[in-house]
Amino acid sequence: MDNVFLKKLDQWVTGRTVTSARNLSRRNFISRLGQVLVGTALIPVLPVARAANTPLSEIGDPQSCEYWRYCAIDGFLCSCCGGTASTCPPGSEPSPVTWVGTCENPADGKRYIISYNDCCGKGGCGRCFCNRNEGDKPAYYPPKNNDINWCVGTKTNAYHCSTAVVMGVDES
Amino acid sequence: MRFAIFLTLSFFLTDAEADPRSHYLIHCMGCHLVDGAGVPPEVPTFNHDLAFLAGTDEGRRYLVQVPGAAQSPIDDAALAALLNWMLARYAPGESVTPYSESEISEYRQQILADPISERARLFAAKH
Repeated sequence: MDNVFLKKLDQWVTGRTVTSARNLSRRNFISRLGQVLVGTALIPVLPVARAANTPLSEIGDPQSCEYWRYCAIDGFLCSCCGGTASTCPPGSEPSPVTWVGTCENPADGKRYIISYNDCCGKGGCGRCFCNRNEGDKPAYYPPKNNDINWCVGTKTNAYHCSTAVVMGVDES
Repeated sequence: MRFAIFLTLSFFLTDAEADPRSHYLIHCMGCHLVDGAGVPPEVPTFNHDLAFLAGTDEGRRYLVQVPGAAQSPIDDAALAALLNWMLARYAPGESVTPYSESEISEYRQQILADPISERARLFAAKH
């Protein structure tokens, strides 16, 4: 019984091999192999894999109001006050509560979610005032209004400067 | 051709999965923070209390009608997906009936005039 089965299988495999050897050139095999290799190499280019660990590519000057992350900011730029675009200057405290917007990154054309955390606990920095209001809503819609002093949940509500922290690509 | 289908499919799959998380970051994270910790007592923490609320009719209404949810600029289907994502993320392991779009539409049309009192009343029943 087993022998009959194996014999049939053997005949079938032999038949297929001979047929394909007659019909297909060696180049065909190479081109198929090439497709598989290119396909495998392209998998990291797919959005699934890419979102996981691509470092953010950026252009522009974080001390300029024109910098892409500041599209909805209203305040003094922390990057001119001893901090950076995403960290508070020494002696000031980041507000945990913040307002959130989205800006288009000219380096890759994608929209990113930006958290505008205010730095608090010191007097106003006074340098690099920047007021761009893309997507800003009126005060009757507080979660999306940038005229509010967001220094809440901090030791004092004294406003010093504003940061723009990138939270990730906007997939919505 | 097959590769093109795979590409298209993977694009739609990532988009659908990432959607509620992006909405959370844009519309909720500002006050409730990335990890849902909030700033109690003013901003409640997202934890298993979400499952407690979503387990009763009144609580389910509250979670939809609280101004931060009801007034978020996303449609009913997206709000349902967002709340279901939050329940899975911040109250893991709880068996909660997922919100449907029609349920959101119904609750969202009724205004909750005093969310803080309603919250206190709901939690008084818990303890």
